[in-house]
Amino acid sequence: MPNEIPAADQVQLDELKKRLERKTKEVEIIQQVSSQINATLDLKNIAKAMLSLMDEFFGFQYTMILLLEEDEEALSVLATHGYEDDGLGAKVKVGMGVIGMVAKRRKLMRMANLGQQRAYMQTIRQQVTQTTDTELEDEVPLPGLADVESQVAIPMMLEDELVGVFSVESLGLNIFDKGDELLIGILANQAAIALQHARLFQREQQRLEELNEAHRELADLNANLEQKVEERTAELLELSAKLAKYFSPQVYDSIFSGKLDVTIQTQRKPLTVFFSDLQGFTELTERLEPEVLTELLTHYLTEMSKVAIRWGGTIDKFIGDAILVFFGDPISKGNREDAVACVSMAVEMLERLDSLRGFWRERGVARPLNVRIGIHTGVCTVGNFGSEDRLDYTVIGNGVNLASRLESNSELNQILISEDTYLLVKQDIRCEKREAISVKGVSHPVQTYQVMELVNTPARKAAMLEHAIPGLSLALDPFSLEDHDAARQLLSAALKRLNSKSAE
Amino acid sequence: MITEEHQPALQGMFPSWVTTCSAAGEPNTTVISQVWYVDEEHVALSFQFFNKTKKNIAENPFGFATIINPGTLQMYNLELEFDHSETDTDLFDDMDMKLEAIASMSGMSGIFKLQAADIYKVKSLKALGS
Repeated sequence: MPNEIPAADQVQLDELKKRLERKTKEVEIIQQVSSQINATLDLKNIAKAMLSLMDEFFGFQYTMILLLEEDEEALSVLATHGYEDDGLGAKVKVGMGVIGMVAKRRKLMRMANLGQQRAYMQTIRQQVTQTTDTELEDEVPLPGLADVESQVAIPMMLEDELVGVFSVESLGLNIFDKGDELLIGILANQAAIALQHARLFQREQQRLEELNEAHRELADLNANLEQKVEERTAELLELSAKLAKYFSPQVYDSIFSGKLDVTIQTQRKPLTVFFSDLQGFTELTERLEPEVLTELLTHYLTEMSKVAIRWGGTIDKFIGDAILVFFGDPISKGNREDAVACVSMAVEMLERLDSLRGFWRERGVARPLNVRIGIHTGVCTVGNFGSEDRLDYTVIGNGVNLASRLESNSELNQILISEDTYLLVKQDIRCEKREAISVKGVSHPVQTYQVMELVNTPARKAAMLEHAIPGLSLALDPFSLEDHDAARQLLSAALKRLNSKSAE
Repeated sequence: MITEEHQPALQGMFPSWVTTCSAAGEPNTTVISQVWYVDEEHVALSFQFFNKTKKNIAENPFGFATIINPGTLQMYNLELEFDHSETDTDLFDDMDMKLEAIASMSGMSGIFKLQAADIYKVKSLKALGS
């Protein structure tokens, strides 16, 4: 028969057919594995897909994929197939056992007859421990079958980088022949690529999540910002309120409204300066308990400060029990008004001290609190004095010394003022002339006056008579009238003239 | 000489027998875990300890091995002649790696050191009983 193929050729043809079938099958497997493991970006799903395909195509019953951890010192189980216990997360140190050695050397390893080889090692171990002092490491339990006979572990490589290890175990003696080795190696590397993509994706996801989180925080922060600003402002207000205690309200307002910069700057201005000192206070300090003394002084200074602030005075400082107040800076209502306010304040302080005396007498401080007050109006230098680090808003000049001198010349619980002040306040305040005093740095003696009473009180107003009609103008102030007889003569002379004119 | 048919017998699934002979003519047979496939003409034995096999081969380079195909249980006799020792080849790495893997499982990392891969030329290969 001409068409009949010779037997030898037929054998060769069958062999070729078989090889072609195998190659076709291999390509098919690669395509399938490729498409399945690349269909997802989830690490575990990729690994699971890979393992079940390996079972399907090669009948591998017990398989696992381990990923190299970032520190590259161990591998952890990512997915398993066929085991009773999934063993997920179990770790294998690089260099330990078949899987660890594959990770270390990055080379495929096929192990057969494992049971016998391990038994052989056990015997040697016993010999070593019994006959030598060698300290051996503990045996490390490894994930996988306890009674494994054969194992093949394949490094999953991405270019030169180890991604993980693919392990196949069998209870039988042989797993796969050399012909399958190449194919399985290709598939393992395919899986490595997919796993690496998934890993990168996961990392990106994580970063995205972190970014989202940061974004959320930022949004929260923005939402809270307004509230925080309010809180901060409230804190600052509270703080400045505390600071306010150390300044006169006017100075405080000037600083916090920005009208007066807190720098070293001074100016010369006409001011009315008040100076007061408690008489015999030093003695008192020696007799009183410190707590009582503190309370007494605080009480006194607090009450006096209240009065000063009410009249618009700038409390310059307390020197022990002495008080220095001035009017005219940072706010001035006019020289005359400042001077009147200052003296009025002093008068009120005396009244206030009167009630304090009663209060303290009840508390057992028998010795009365007595004060001397001096007031002077003159040009002084006022502003921030000190160093860059510490500034005092204060007043200096002869005017201050003079006020102090007036204070020490004053009678107890009286107010002694200079002529300069007197000239400004005499309309409103009744004063009596006192001796002239000489002051260091002032060439001529200073005429002094003692404040007697405020003139513009309701009683004085009621006593005053002020009328003006065509041909007659009358202004009578009995409180400021010094020579009553002269006034009577004037009035009776006026009356006589009017009577004689009317009789004509 | 060595074909696909013999490959399974060189995977270490069943132990193999190796017989050597001293210069004085005293024979020695030992059981080893694996005779390694190198190429069609060569196989390798692992050299871990200086044992009698190693001593005999140094005196007399000829040896005789019996291997078993675990699938068919067919036994083969190989006539060997020592060729050379290798320490920095892929084969050596492969053998070393397996030794270390097993040792590490038993908590004996670094205790076993593969000294060399001893390469033998296969002078003849005969299936037993054929």
